[in-house]
Amino acid sequence: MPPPTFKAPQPIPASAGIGLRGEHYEAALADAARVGWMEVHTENYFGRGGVPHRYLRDIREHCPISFHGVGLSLGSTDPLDRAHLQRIRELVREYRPGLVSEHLSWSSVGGVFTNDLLPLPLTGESLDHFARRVDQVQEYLKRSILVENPSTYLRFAGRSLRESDFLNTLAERTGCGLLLDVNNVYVCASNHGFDARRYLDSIEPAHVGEIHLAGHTRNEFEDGDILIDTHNREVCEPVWRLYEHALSRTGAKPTLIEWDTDLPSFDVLLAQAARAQTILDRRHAAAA
Amino acid sequence: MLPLREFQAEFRRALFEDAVTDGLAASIHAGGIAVERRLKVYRNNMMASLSSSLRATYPAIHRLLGDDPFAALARRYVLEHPSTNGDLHRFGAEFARFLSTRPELAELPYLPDTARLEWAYHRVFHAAEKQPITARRLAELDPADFPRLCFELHPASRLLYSKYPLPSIWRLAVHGDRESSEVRLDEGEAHLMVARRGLEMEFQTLADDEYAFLLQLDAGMSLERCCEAVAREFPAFDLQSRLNAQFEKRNLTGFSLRDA
Repeated sequence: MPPPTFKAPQPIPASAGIGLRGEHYEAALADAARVGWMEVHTENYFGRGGVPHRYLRDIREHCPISFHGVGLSLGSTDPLDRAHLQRIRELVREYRPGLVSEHLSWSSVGGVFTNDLLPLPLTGESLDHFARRVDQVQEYLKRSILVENPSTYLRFAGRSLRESDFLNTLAERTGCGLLLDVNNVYVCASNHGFDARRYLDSIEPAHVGEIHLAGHTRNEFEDGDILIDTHNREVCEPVWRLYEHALSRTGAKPTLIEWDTDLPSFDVLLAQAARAQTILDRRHAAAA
Repeated sequence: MLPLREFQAEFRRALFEDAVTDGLAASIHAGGIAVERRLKVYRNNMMASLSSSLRATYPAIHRLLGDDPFAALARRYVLEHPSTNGDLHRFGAEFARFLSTRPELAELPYLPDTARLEWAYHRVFHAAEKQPITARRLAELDPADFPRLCFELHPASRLLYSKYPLPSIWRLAVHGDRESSEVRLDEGEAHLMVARRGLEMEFQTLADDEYAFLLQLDAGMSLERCCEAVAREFPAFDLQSRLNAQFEKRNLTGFSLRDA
């Protein structure tokens, strides 16, 4: 292993960032100074060397980095995977990311992984369980994490907490922050028939440490439509409007453009980030 | 609402066995779009991401089979060999063995070995960096200690044998080289080391005695034990030249002395 090169953590600025994917390494490195910050999927760096680490080290020289986990399965009732957690800790020590985040979801049971973000029933039992897991992770990493609201495609029957209440309480109990994915709020509001603005209004602004923006896909069936969080296109207009609404409550926050499949050229991501930056600049100006 | 553990177990059955239990159905709000359809969204998402991970790890198999046959095999693999790790890069380790059990692939006997090559490539691509050592380092040693020397193979290295000409098959499949659009399957067996030196991936073609030597070395055998084992099969084995070649190819990253 090369000796650790990074001495100080670099905080993530309240500006627009871009999700970094392997296909964009060259372009991202060339434009790194023009991007406020970049975010990677932590698990993509679970390997020990080679191309991914070479580029991440170089890009880290030019702009702050955030780690976004997709595989810890926080909501699972299986024991936390210590090896997985240990690798995250090693990476956090090596790269000193400004933010570390995971999802309000689960992906494994009985040792079998779906490698997908599955919906967590929002019960008291789940809240106790999830809070314990967040505590364990934060204790192990010796830092707080952000937890993201997921896109969901079904609602639970019977009594359950509102997701925003669940997240607010989670943040109060564990000291974790929230990663507010505005596209996921839009997708869920459409899928489950609630008012996205009211959801945003019920999130405690002080907990929000980061915002995600992405594109989704509409699947049409004879008994109705389902929006799917596909990250394969530009952010849609209603989500931009919701984003402005969210910022009016939280103030300017680090805002990430996520795009994972059918990747466009890096320029398209730069243009999406520039649009988010314009909205952030207005928010900064309003606050000044 | 089911207890969380039970809910998760039954949700998994819905994804893997298409079986929606009464308990699970009762946990999900009915109305509008059918519960089965909603669960199918999750099933499709899981299939899509695991299949695309397999496609990324096995580009040659994908090219050799084509989209639809590959997708059908990937679906089956996902259900029969579920992922067991939150790190998607670990998924697909059993794919070569799985391919070797599929009767419909019997006429493509080189597929499993090609898949083994791709798994080796995948693991080596992500393996650790390490500085190679040079032959000069041995000058520090007392020559009397040479028999006790154990070498460390570069961590970005995997040894592989096949009776098929794997590098030719792989290049044809992945790069679709028009110049050599045919591979003769009887063109010769392959003793290989899949390696990454710096960022460059390479297939090192090894002589059969060199392959046997590296296998012993990789198993942690001392030079003396390596030579004994290799010489039994290859009486003309020339340690000096084979060892020098490993330094030149930057294949060795450390050494230690085994107690006599």
